[in-house]
Amino acid sequence: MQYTVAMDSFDNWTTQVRKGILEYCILNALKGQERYGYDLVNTLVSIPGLGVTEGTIYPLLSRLRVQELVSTKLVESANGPARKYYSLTKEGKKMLSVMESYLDKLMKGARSLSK
Amino acid sequence: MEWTKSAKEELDKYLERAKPSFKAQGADPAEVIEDFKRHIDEELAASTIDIVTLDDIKRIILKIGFPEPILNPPTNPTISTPNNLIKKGMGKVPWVLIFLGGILIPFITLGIEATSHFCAGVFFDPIPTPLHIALVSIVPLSNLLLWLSITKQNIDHKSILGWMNGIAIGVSSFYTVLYLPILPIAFIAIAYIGMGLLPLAPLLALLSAIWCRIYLRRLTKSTDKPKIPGLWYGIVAGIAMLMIVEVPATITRVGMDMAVSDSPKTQLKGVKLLRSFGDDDLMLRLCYQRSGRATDIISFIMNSGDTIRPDQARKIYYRVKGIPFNSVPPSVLSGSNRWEAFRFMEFDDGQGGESVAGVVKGLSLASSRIDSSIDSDAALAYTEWTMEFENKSRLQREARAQIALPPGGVVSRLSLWINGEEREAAFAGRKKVREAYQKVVRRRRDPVLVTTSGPDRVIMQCFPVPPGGTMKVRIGVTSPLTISNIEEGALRLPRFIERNFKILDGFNHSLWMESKTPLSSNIKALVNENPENNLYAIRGHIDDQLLKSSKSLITTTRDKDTKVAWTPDPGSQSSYAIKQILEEWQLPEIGTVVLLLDGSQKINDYKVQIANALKSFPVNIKLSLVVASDESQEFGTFIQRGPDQSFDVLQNKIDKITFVGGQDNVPSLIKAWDIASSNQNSIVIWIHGTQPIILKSLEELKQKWDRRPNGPIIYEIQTDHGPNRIIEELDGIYGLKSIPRLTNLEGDLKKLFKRLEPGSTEFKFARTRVSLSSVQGQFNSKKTSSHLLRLWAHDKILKLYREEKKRNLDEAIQLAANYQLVTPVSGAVVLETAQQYKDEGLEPVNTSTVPTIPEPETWALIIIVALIFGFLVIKIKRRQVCRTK
Repeated sequence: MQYTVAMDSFDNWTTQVRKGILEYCILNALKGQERYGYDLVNTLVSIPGLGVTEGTIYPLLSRLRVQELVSTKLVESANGPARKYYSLTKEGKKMLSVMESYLDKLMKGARSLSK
Repeated sequence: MEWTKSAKEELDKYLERAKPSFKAQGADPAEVIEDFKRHIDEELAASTIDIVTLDDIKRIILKIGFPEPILNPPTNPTISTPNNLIKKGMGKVPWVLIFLGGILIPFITLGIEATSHFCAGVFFDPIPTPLHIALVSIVPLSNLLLWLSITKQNIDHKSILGWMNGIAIGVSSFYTVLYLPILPIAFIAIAYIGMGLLPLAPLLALLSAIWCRIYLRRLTKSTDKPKIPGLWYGIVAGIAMLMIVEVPATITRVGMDMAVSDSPKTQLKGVKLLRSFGDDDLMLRLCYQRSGRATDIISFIMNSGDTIRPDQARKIYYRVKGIPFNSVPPSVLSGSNRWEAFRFMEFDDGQGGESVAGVVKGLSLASSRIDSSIDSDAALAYTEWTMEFENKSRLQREARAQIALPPGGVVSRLSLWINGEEREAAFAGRKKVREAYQKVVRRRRDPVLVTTSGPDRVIMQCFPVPPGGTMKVRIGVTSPLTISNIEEGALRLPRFIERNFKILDGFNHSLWMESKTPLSSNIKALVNENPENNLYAIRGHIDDQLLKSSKSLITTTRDKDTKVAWTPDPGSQSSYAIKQILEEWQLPEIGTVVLLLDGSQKINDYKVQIANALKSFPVNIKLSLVVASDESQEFGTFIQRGPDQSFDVLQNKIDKITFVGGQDNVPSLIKAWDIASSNQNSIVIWIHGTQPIILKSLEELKQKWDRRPNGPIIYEIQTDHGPNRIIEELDGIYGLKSIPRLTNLEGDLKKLFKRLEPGSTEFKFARTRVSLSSVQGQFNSKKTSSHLLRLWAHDKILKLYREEKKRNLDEAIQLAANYQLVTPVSGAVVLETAQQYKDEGLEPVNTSTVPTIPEPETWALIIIVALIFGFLVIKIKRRQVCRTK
C-alpha cells in the first residue's frame, strides 16, 4: 500500500517534471542542427523516462512555431512524403539559453540543500 | 498505398477528437493535423504494407497516443504579460518618455510647424502640402494608439496597429534622415539654452515607434496569432507614400537643376520638363529668399548643399510660366497665406536695389489719388499721383514700384511727407541721387528716389514705411497729349507696371481730371462735370485693373487751328520763349518690315488680334516673320501681298506657332535687326509681352545701335501689362520706339500699319527756343504753362544723351537739374534733413518752382481775384467812412 502511494506520488512528480522539461528537450534537440519532424519526434520518444508520445509533441512543436521559437520549412523527400524541417530561431536560441541557465541554477540550488 | 474507407474514417475521427486539444495548447490545429498525417505517412512508408486497414490505423493511433495537455494556458518564462513588463520595468521601458517623445512632442512640433512654418522659413519646408501633414500625423497617432493598446493590454486591432506602426516607422525614419543635418544645432541649443527639442521630434518619434512595436510583439507572442503584420511593407508604404506626394516636387527639382545647367540643350530640356510637369507652387517658393532645401528624397540626395538660388529660380519661373514671379500672389495653403507667417522675419532682398523684386509682407497701398490738369490746346498735361503706403509688419519696409508714365511723359516733381510736412526733391545726376538714397536707406532714414527704367517708365522707391505706419509720396508727371486727330488729344494715365506691395481687393484709385475743354472717357465709373464755364472735369474711382487697362484713357477736344503754343523761358532773362508747333509730318517710305513675334505663352491670347490686324497691313510692303521661341524661329523670306490678296500664308504660320512659357526676345531682336539692316528702308515691329528677366546680354544689340545709330528702328508694342527688362536696358536708345497703347492690340497695330502706308502722316511736336517777341501776340498761338518748358528740356536732354559725349552728358545732367526732370541721366531724391542734402552736394528744389495742380497761372488768377476783391472791400469801407464824416 505504502509502495503504491509512493509510486503514485513519483508518477505525479515525473509527470510534472516531464511537462516542464519537454519544451527544453525539443529546443535542445534542435540546438545546432535542423531536424525533420518524424526524426525529431522519434528521438524525443526514445528518450528514456521522458515518456512522451507523438500526439503530445506535434501540438507542442506547432505552438513553438507560432511563438516563433522555432521555424519550419518543407523539403521534398525521395523516400516518402515531403519532410518538415524544424530549426531554432534567434528567439528560440535565447529561450534555450535562458532555460539552461535556469535549470543549472535550479539543480545547483536543489542539490546544495543536501549538504 | 491504398487506404480502406474505415481506416480513413478512423483517422479523421481521431483528429477531429484531438482538434480542441491542439487549440487549447496554443497550436495551429490545421498545422498539427498536417504534421500527424505526415508522421503517419512516414510510419506507413517505413512498413511494407500496401493497403492501410482499420487495424493498421488503430495500431498507429495507439502508438501516437492522445495529445497530453502540457501547459494550459500556455505560459513562457521569457514572455511576460505587458502588465508585468510595466510593473517589473522589464527592458526598462520609459513609458512616460515614449508618451512625451513619441506622441506629445511630435504632435506639438507638427502643430507649430503647420501654423508658424518656422522650419520652412529658416531651413526647409518639411510639410509643404496638406498631404505631407496627413502623412506626418500618422506617426504620433500610431504611437498614441499603440501606447494605449499596450498599456490597456488590448490587442484586438493588432493588424491595423501593426500596419500603422510600420508606416510610422517609415515616415519617421525619412524625417529623421532629413533632420540629421540640423540635429547638432538642436543638441547645442538644448545644452546651452535648454530649447531645441523640435528638430529632435522625428528621431524621438522613430525610437518610440520601434519601442512600441517591440512591446506589441511581446504582448502578442503568448496568443495563438503572435505575428504582427506590416513592418517592412508598412515602412515601404510610408516611404512610398512620401515619395508619391513628392513626385511633383522631385520632378520640379530635377527640372530646375537641368534648367540651370551649363549646357543650353540641357537647360531647354529642363525648362520643357517643368512646363509639362513642374510644380508651380514650389517654383514660386524657390523664387523667394529661402534655403531652397529639398524635402523629397531624390532631390535631397541630388542637391544636398547645392540649392537653386532665388535669382536662378526667378529666371526659370519666367521661362516656364511666361510671367514674372512677383505678378502672382505668393504661395497659399489651405486658404491661409503661408507667407504671412513670416511677416515679422522675412528679409526684403530687393531693399535699396535697382529692381522691384518680390512682394514683401505687410506692405500695401493705403490710398492713391491721381489729379490731372489738361491743356488741350497746348496738347500737354500735368498729372500728380499721390500714394500712401501702409506697413502692417514689424519691420521697416521699402515700397518699390515701376510706373508707366503717359507716353512722352517726364517726372517733373517728387515730394515726400516727413512729419506731416511735404518736402520737395533734389534733381541731379542719376548716380548721385541713387548714392544719396542708398546712404540714407542704410541709415534707415526717410528718403524717396525716382529714376527712369526705360522709355516712359520710372522706378520709384521709398524707405522706410515704418512698422504699423504709413509713408506718403507724390510724383508729378508732365506729358504731351497723344494726338492722332488734330481735334482730339488723349492722356493715358500713369499706372503700376510692377510693385512690391499689395493692392488689396476692393481698393480704388481716386481720379480727378480737369481741363478747359470737354473731357471724355470709356470708363463708366467716371462722371463728367462742368462746374463752371470753361472748366470741365471728369472724376471717380477705379480699381487697379482698370487703371492698368487701355481704357484708362482721357480724351479731350481741342481747337484744330491752335497749332502753336509757347511759354516764356525764365532761364533766358525773359527775352526768349519755348515754342511748340504741332505739325503733321509725312513719314518716310517703308520698304520692308520685319515682324518679330514674342513666342511666350501670353501672346497666344493675342493671336487672333494679330491675325486680324495683319489683314490691314499695307499692300506693297514686304513682310518677314521672326519668332522668339525656345529655338529662335526665323521664317525669313519676305512676303508681299497684292491689293486683293490676303496674308493667309503668314496667318497660317502664326496659327501654327506654339506660344509657350517665357521666351528670351534678345536673340530674336538681334536676328530681326540683322534682317532689317540688310534691306533698304526697313523697320522692325516687335510685338511682345513682359520679360521680367534678362536671359542674354544686350551688349550685341546695343553695339548695333552704337555703331549704326541710323540703323533700322524697332517699334515695340507690348501686349500685356508688366515689366520688360529689355526695354528698361535700352532706356534712351533712339532706335527703339514705343507704340503707345491706346486701344486693344488689334486697334493699336492697325494704327501702326496705317502709318506705314506711303504718304501717311503723323502729328509731331517740334519744340524750339525762340525770341519772345516772335511768339507774343502771334495769331492762333497759345500761351501755356511752364510744363512746355519741361517738355522742351526733356527733348533736349534725350538728344544730348543719345549723342553720349562726356560734355553732352554733363550738360544734360545740368539741364535736368535746372528743369527738375527725371531722365535717363538724372533722378530725383527727397532726403530728410537739410544736412543730408548738404552732405550729398544736393539742393532741394525751391517750392515756388514746383508744378502744382491747379497750375500756377490758375493760382495767380485766384490771387489776383482775391486782391481785387480785397481792394474793393477796403475802397467801399473808406467811402462809407468819408460819408459818415
